Parts: sequence; structure tokens; C-alpha cells
Amino acid sequence: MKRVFNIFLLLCIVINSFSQENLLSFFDSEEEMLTFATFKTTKIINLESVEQPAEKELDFIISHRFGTLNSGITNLYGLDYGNIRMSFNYGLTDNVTLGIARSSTYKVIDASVKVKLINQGKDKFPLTISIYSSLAYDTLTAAFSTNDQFSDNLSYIHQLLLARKINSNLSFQLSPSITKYNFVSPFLDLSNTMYSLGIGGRYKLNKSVSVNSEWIPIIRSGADFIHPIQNEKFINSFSFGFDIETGGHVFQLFFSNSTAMFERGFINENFENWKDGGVHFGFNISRVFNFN
Amino acid sequence: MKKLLFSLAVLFCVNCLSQDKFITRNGMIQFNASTPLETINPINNHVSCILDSKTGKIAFQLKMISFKFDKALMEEHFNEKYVESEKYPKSTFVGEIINWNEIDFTKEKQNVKCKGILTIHGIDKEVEVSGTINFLKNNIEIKSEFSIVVSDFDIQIPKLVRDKISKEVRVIVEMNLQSK
Repeated sequence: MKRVFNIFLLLCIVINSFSQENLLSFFDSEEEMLTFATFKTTKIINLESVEQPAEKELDFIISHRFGTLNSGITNLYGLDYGNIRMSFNYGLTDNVTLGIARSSTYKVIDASVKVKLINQGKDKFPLTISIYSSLAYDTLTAAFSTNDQFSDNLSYIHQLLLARKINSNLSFQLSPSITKYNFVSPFLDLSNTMYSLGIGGRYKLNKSVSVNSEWIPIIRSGADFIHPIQNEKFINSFSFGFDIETGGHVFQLFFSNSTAMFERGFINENFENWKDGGVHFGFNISRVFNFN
Repeated sequence: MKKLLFSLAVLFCVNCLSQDKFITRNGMIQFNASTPLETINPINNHVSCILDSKTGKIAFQLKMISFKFDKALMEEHFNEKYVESEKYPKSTFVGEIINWNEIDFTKEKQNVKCKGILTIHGIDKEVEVSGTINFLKNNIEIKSEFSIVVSDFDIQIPKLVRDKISKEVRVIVEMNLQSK
């Protein structure tokens, strides 16, 4: 009997102390949090990142690529030449972006769509996955083209964006891509279907500045597999630079061996090499406008 | 006898856990850090609050990521750069209403003073704020408005945007607590 009474007393004490305890224990403990800010802006450097403008927001990106560093003092190490791209990207929803852009390189207009399929952190999923597709139209007349000039000037690219934010400073992305040319200019030694694997990452140096890099090896041309390092035929794009975020703007300053600023161009159509100093200084400036 | 004691214990247990607690999970907290250059006025409609009406002890909890801003980019910067929501996802207040003994439960709107520990960005700070409490038929309404200083919570504002974000932030609290 005494034992039962002791147990009763103990129970009372335990329960009492529980009710005295921190009121916070009444709230739910852990809930899922979707990963955000995997990259500072919608581009890693040339490659699209998994970031998108929010619903009813317009992201305007103005980009420049200057000439090559090895063009000497006469051309002020490339600064005498400039290629420009203007790109408008509108958030239809938080997960769907429509874009239109025009590049001075090869006089190309391109329209794109980016759709986020799953966000890292959703049901503890380890990756953010998006798809990106763009349709490019060369406004220059294609030399040696067949009869259908319009169709010959079109090319397509489809990309799968797989990103992981490892911690608040470090993020990585893989972008396997397929490029389809309706017509390949004889000046380019390419197949109609090209496969590549974009690899990019960023590391935040402080709250406003990150260092970014990307490498986009071509891995298959038509039916032929290409060794990403040993191949002599294709020059892979490599870029390295910094993101500087200032509140409303993001400035990306970098060096790259690619001149073109649209996917097909910077992935497949490179003619300059890092080891020969065929490197371009470039920048992207992103500004978001709000239509809420 | 055994049975009696056991049922007493169970009764006691149930009593302790459920009695006198008023709770909400969708209270509202809004803050205002606006300056002439920028409107910063986000709102969080998912604040949890619990009040022990026996003792006057009170606690609040919210997720920083639930603050909704007009501009998505501002919301991202708030979470990424200022309050670091990945590291410190929650903000809490635990304290008590210090003049609870003088409260008359039959009267409607009454002034109260509340003292406790406010935790934001992983930093604890003792605060004392005043507000009003309103006893309605089945629920209790709590309202308060007070200011906090951003630098007290080790939240750094970069030089570049220093003029755009107020150093002192006005906080508005509105809770509607239901009996548990």
C-alpha cells in the first residue's frame, strides 16, 4: 500500500513539475523548411541557376562580354570590344518563369521557360530540380542554308538543373543539357544534337559576396562520346568570378572563355582557350522589378 | 483503494495538462523597419502563443520564414542575410504578466505589463513591454506594441543599405487565444 502511495506522490510531483515547465513545449517542435537562396541570382555565370524571380516580378539582366585578354594593349586587353545581351525574365508564378532575350553575338533572339519541379527540403528531398528550355532564332541569314530559312535559323536547348545547397555558404549544381540544331553552319564542326554536362558552384565569402565557377564539358556529339578533358576538337566553357549583391541589384563580375551569352553559343561554340589567354572579362547585372 | 488512487492520479494528470491554458497558432505579429527610402512592413500570421491563466505565464513562438514581405527579394535577404533563418529558424518570447494578481477577469480591456526573455537571431534579451488584455466569452485578446533595437540582437546591416533600414523596429502583436 505504501508503495502505491509513493508512486502516486511521485506521479503528482512529476506531472506538477511538467505543468510548471517551459510553456514553449506546447508548440510543435520541428517543421520542414524549404531551402532558399541556393544562388544569389538566376545565373551561376553563364549557366542558368535554379533561382527564379518570384510571382509577378520581372528580372532584367544586362550582360557584357568584352574581347580577349590576349588582344594586347592596342585593344586595352579586350575592353575595346563588347558583346551585349539584354534579358527579361518574368515570374508567372514562383515556379514558372518566362524569358525573352537578345544577344548581339550572332544576332540571336531567344525565348525561354524555366519550371521548378521540386524544392530542396520538401519532404526532406535533398535537391532542387528545375527544367529549362530555350528556343533561339538567329536573325542573321544562315550561309549555305537549305530552302527553309526560318526553320534553319532555329535551335533548341533543354536542360535539367539539379542543385544542392550544402550549407548556407556552399551550393553546387549539375546541368545536363541537350542542344538541337535544325541546321549546323559548315563553319562549325558540330552534330545536330550535342550533349553537355554543366557543373557549377558558389561559395559565399561574406553575406554580400560569393565566388562562383562553372565548367561545361561537351560529353557527346551526335553518336560520338567525347572525353571531357582529352578531346582536341571541342573547347569547353570555363568561367570564374564573383557575385556582389547590393540589395536591389546583383553584379556578377567574371572571366570566361565564352563570348556568346545564350546557351547554344557558350556551351558549344567556343573558339578561345584559357591556356592561350583567350579569356573575356564580363559582367551580368540583375535588377528585379516588382509588379505587385 | 488502489483503483481510487490511480483514478485520482489520472484526474490530476489531466487537470494539470489542460487546465487554464489559452492557446493560438495563428496570431499576428507585424514589424515596421521602414525609412523614407524603403517601406519594410512584413507580417507574420502564424505566430503561436500560450497563456497560463492561473499564473499569468505567457510564451510566444514564430518562424522567421513566415514573415511575408511585399518584395520577394527583400524577404530572401531578410532570411538569408539579416536574421539567418537557416541557423536560427525560430524567434521566441517566454515570460509572465507581472501584474497578473491585479487582473480582474470580469472586466474587459485592461492594461498589463509583461516581462520576459525575447530571443531573436539566437540572442536572448530581457524585455519589458506593456499591452492590453481583453477577456471575452470564450477567448482572450492580447495586444501590444513596442520597439526593439536591431543591434541588440547582433543583426548586422551592411553599410550600403544602412540608410534604407531603420535601426529601431516597431513591433505590433495581436493574439486571439482560445481555451485549450
